[in-house]
Amino acid sequence: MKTKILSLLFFFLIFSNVVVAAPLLNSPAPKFSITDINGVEISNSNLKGKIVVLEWTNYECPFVKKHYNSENMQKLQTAYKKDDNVIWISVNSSAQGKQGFLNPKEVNSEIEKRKAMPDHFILDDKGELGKLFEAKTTPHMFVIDQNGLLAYMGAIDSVSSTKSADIEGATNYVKNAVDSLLLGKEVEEALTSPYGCSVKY
Amino acid sequence: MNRFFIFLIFFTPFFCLAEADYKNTEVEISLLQEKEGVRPGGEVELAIVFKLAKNWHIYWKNPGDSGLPPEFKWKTPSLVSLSQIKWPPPERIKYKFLVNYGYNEEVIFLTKLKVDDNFKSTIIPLELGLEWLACEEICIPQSATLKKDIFINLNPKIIKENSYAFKDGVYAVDKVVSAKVNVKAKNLIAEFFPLNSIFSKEELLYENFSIYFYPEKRNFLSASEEQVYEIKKESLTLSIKPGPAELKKDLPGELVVRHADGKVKSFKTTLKFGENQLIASDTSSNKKVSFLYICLMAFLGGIILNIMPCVFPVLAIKILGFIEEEKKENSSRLRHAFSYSLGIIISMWLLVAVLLLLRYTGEAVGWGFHLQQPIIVAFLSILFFFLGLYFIEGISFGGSLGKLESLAAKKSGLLGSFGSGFLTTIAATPCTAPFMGYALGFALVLSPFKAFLIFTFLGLGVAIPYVLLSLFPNALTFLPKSGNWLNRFKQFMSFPLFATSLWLLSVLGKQTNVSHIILVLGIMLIISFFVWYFKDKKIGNSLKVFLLVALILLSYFLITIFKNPNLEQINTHGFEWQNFEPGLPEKMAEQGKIVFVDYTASWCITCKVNKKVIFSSKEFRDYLRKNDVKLLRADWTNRDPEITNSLEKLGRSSVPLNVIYKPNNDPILLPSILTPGIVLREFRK
Repeated sequence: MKTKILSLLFFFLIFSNVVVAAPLLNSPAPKFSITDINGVEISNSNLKGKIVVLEWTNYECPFVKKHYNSENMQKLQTAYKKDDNVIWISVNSSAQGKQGFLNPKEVNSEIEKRKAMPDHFILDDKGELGKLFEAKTTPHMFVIDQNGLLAYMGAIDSVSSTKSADIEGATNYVKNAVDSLLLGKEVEEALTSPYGCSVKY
Repeated sequence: MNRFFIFLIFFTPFFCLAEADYKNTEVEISLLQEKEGVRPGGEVELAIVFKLAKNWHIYWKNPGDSGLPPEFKWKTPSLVSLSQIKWPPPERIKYKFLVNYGYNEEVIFLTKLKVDDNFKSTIIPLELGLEWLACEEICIPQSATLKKDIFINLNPKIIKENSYAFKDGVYAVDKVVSAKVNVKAKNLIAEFFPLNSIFSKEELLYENFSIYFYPEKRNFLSASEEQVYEIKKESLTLSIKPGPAELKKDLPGELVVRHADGKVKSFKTTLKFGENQLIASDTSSNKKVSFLYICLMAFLGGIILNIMPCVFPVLAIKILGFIEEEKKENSSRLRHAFSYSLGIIISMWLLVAVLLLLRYTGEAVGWGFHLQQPIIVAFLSILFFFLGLYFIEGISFGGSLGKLESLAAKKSGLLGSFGSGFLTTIAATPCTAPFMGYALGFALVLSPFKAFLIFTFLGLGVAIPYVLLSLFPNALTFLPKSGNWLNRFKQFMSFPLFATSLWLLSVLGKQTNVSHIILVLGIMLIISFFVWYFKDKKIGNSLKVFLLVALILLSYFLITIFKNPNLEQINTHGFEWQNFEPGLPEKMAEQGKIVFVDYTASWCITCKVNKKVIFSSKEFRDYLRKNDVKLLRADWTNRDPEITNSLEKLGRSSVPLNVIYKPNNDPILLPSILTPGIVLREFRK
């Protein structure tokens, strides 16, 4: 009898947990605790006080290629690598068998090949982190401020296309957001429409 | 010369076929003109036709959660101009929990080329630079440059081969519908009016459409959530989940109404942000009517489910329990009725939760979905076999339904009632009763809350006959007192159960192959042995553990074996059936044929009964032969997203569904239970 009640309870718990609140601007970022490819544990609490950039990526997506072949993304990553106040986390949520999926063995060489400089790289092939943030596209960018609040979500820049030539004339929303936070200013364009391939959950 | 002729003969067919202007493995693009040419001061309509390979899509001007709209860049000589591109209404293309707005298969963009009076040359050289993103699961950015010379012609004729591209009907109509939007609770309520511009009177009678407002800008409305419509006296409202960005300004977009018969209407409109942000909740009176109606349908469907061939055996179990409980006082009877109903309703809830969950992850599922999994069919078959044994042997396990002396036993009796409620739901899932298809069709597109409500009513409907009997037990006084006949009856009732088990086995046989059947029969053999062996023995705890382990091992064994079933066709009735393909019935009807489409599944017993009944009529068979009626079978035994989609387009989520297509006529949806008369009447109309 007891086990029956328990299993029923368990059932309801599962179902009641399905509805997860969507990430909201200027609200606490979704709670996560996850291990990067080097085994370093990262979570909301150990990132507190830092500005965190989350970048959803899929190296085979043409929209991501646009920003990596032009080294646009690497430039930004390198600039913030020097700054201890900014932590850059690249997330790959491609599921096994889907485009852009990387296995732990090849991920380092893929990062090196592109000279990418994220502080952390996360293989999220189960899509858990992606669903938590409702990441829709690659690239899809999120910036969390020093207080753990979501300060930016949306596109990397203002021109949605796959052409590298468009980067020059575009406004880089992520750079603007992080720089504003570093200066203690409010982020002006805090919410934009992300553009890119769908995340390959 | 001779050679030249041979050359011509061989290649003429290729010249005659409209060759695409651009072609790769994903898309074929043609730039077509409506007329042979254009006169100075006149205009000619142009069409850009994209034909997409299977599963590939391109995007609408707002691509939804991801993607990129195609771009059109024209190069024209001076004094020639082009109007804005007309985009046909998009569809929602789902990938997991993401939704894109775009086009599958074929999409035709229209524009008008205008030539000034003073244009002097005889040729207009036209160049169209196209850039688009073609996506399947992966995306490929592509581009092409199409060139076309359009000739100046004072009296241009219409080009017939191209006329298919210039049907204006589906493109969004301007300025007919106005709209405003307000915030209510967490949702945006968009209101569109006047109602008679959106629907004709007849359309409103047959309320069966899907409605969606496609915003031109991203981020303000959620693309992934369904929009729920309600038809009020004067207007249409849509309840829309907002996106991450707060809607503060007006939002232009298109209201697209898709009718069950495939007709599409689209209206350009702008959501004007209302000044009073909160709507008073007093509008509930007339807008709830249609939803209440759906609930009523679900309730009626539930009642009828009780006598459907797939539920009756389980109901029989319950009736048995009832005769035994006759000995008891009213309150106990009521408690049993209550826990039985609760069992049904909770299992309905679980079912709808699983359904919604699967839909949320992008699976195309409908009522009876679990029977598309051979492993579940196998388990159910074994379950019914076991129940049959239980009744014929009169064995009692730990907490039996029969022993009611002690208080503890009473409790487990209630639990038994609860369990048989569960069982009723499980057995009911392969069936669809009249009225039910209509209600369930709605349940899966409405908000989760309403879906739960509809299923609750369905459950109440299933439970009500039993509840009524327990309220008025005198209705059963015609039955003799319990005695030997009861045992005989109980034993007899095992036969419908065995029959159900057999039927499920036959379903399994169609889903898999004979080795799976033998396996299931083997398991039944083992079970019968255990039942015989333990019949008169008390079952100790260690033995229980042993049985549990054996059961788990068996389940594991079953699961591994059932991973790769191969499919087989359902046998026919001597008539020739063609396999259903989306668009095929419409095409056949256009060619002047009468088409009878049977959405069916081998686990759907109602479907079988229907076919048996109508095909046994000579008049019906003669009519089929005389009029060369085309028979199409949409076999939904295993999951098939194409069939699920086409069911959805017809506003249904379940089988049986039979549809008649006639030349120059909208498709006719037949009721869930058929007689030759009903079908013939619709044929002859």
